Amino acid sequence: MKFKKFDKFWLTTLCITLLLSCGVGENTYKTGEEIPASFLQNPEDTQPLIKSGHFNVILFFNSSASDYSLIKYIDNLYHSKYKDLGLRLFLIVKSAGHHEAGVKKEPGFDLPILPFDRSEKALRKFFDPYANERALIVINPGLKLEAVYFFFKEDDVRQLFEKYYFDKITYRGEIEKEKLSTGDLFPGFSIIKLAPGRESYLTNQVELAPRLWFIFRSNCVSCVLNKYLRRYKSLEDKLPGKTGIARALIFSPYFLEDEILKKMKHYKIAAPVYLSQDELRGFEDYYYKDAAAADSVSVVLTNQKNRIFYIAPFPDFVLEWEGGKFEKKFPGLFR
Amino acid sequence: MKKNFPVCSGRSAAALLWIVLTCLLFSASLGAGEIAVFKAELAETFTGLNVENVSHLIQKNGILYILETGNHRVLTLKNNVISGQLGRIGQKKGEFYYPRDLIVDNKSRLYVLDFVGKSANRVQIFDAAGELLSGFTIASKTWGFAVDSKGNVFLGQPHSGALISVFSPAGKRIAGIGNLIRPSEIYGKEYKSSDRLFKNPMNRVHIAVDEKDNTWVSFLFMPLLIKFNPAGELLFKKVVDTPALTPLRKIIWQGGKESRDYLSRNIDGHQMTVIVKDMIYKPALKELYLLLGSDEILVLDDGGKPRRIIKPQFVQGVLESFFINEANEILVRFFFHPEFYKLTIIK
Repeated sequence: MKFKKFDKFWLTTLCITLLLSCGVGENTYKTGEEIPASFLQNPEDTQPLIKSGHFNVILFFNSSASDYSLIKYIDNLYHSKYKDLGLRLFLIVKSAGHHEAGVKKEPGFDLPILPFDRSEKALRKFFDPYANERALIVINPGLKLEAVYFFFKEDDVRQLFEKYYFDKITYRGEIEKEKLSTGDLFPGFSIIKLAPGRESYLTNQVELAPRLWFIFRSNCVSCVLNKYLRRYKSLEDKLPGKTGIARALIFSPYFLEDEILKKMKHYKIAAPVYLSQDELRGFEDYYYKDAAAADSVSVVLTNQKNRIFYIAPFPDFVLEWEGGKFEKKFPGLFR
Repeated sequence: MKKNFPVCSGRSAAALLWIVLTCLLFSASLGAGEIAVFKAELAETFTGLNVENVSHLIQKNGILYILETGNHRVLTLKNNVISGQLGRIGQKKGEFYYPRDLIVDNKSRLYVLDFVGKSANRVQIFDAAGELLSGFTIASKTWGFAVDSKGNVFLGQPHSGALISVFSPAGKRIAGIGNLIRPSEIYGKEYKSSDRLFKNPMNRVHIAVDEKDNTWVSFLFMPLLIKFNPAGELLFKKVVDTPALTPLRKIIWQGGKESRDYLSRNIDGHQMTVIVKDMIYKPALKELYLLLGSDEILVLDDGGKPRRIIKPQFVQGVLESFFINEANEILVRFFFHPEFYKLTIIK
């Protein structure tokens, strides 16, 4: 059988297309497919990273800057519960920059961050890393692909871990009231004082004096840094100046220091600002980060013995303050 | 903040008079006293749940079905107490990942639309006891979800060439309903050059199937309402309009500062002001409710004739969606405010 030149061209094109499509099929892992342990190597010791008998989770982030809070949360989750259960967790960050160094220098952060250039080929067997912002790959103890999730939030990661490890999920959907109440001791946190242009220093002691604390939780980092700081600033302008009660802002450890400093400068916030190095006990749980409190910001008034005098969600405080009720409640505090 | 109001010139006064006359004419066509003004009050829909996770509510036979998208499950409530849970996070059969729509049919079967993989949608059908009956996956993004009395699933899929694709409960595509509408047909010949570019987003629809298996279709980005009979044949095609909705017909194309006052959505890569935000058909009342981009609720009868306009008065912001409970009370939800607000009539 003779082919014309024209037919040969189309036949070749068809063969190439078929070969390519077969290749794509071969190169993409499907749910339930066995994953060779050698597919992801540690560049330092050339040992396979994923191991049978363990759940292996690979987390891909396009940028560590935008996902900083989530990465820190996963690190806390891993250390507080899943490391001891044998979870093998690896991070691959496409554009890490100085934030990667920031994550790595965190005390206790030892999740392996694999270099993207050396992991790209392995990732391509699951998805196109250039077309996705974040992805979570679960490989089960039998080294079979369990699932790939292309978008996820903090609580999804917790729920997935709980599902795979305990086959039971704790739903933290309930709106909680403030866990601390009047008369309780204000919990001590290890905190860094943030000041633009000045070196940060660690302190776990603050002056024992009546103080109005604004506690910023991280359930929505961008909301807090934008909406809440703006609302705080408009309130700060109305609060008494130097003669009034001292006030301070404390941020959850899930915030990025640079981002807070940038916003402080933008909003010209006068009050001292602290970044907590510990879990905000009583305000935010390391494990159930997404636990919904009444609001992202709590306002706490402490006395000289560091006892809580007043505690309320930020909007309630604003209403009380603007309605003059707060001053009536605590007449001696505001001169 | 001080606001500057434009000085009313003779020409603008004439224009104003024209608008007022047009409004009066429009109101007259709907019948006097048929614009009802409501205020929105925080509704105590259910206790002990974070409403931020909730995206859909359906009440049937005294049971409140709650689609908890953020917790990847469906909850049932009886007398304000959780009586059941369907699904949990995951991609296996019976599990959900960010379920985005829910339908409960007359036999109390549940139809849940969720995500699998990056952009594929999955439909899973459960019986009243929560047993999985069937399920199928559609490789493309869909908008609009409804079910007829036979359990056939209607999905808005403009890229398939028809407005709606109809799937059997087993997942076989059995029909396509409705031709795609060219935006220039509605917005004028000057937008003819945009017909091709906006073909898919402009044909994104809300779907409702009534008790006679007629299909109602409204468009997210076009002021248009279409009704098809059970055979998929066109019954009527009507332009939807109210005086408050009219400006959106320009804003959708021109954007600008004014567009910030309205809800916009990014669909098929285009960020556009929404003309119809949501649609509900109430079989008991034989009424169709359209939540318009102007934050009014337009109520139409079986023939698509406007019965009344519900005009909520509130300060909470822009409306996103609405629900109607068995007592025919309307609950609305604001963009950025997860709580549900009940509309209470003022006048």
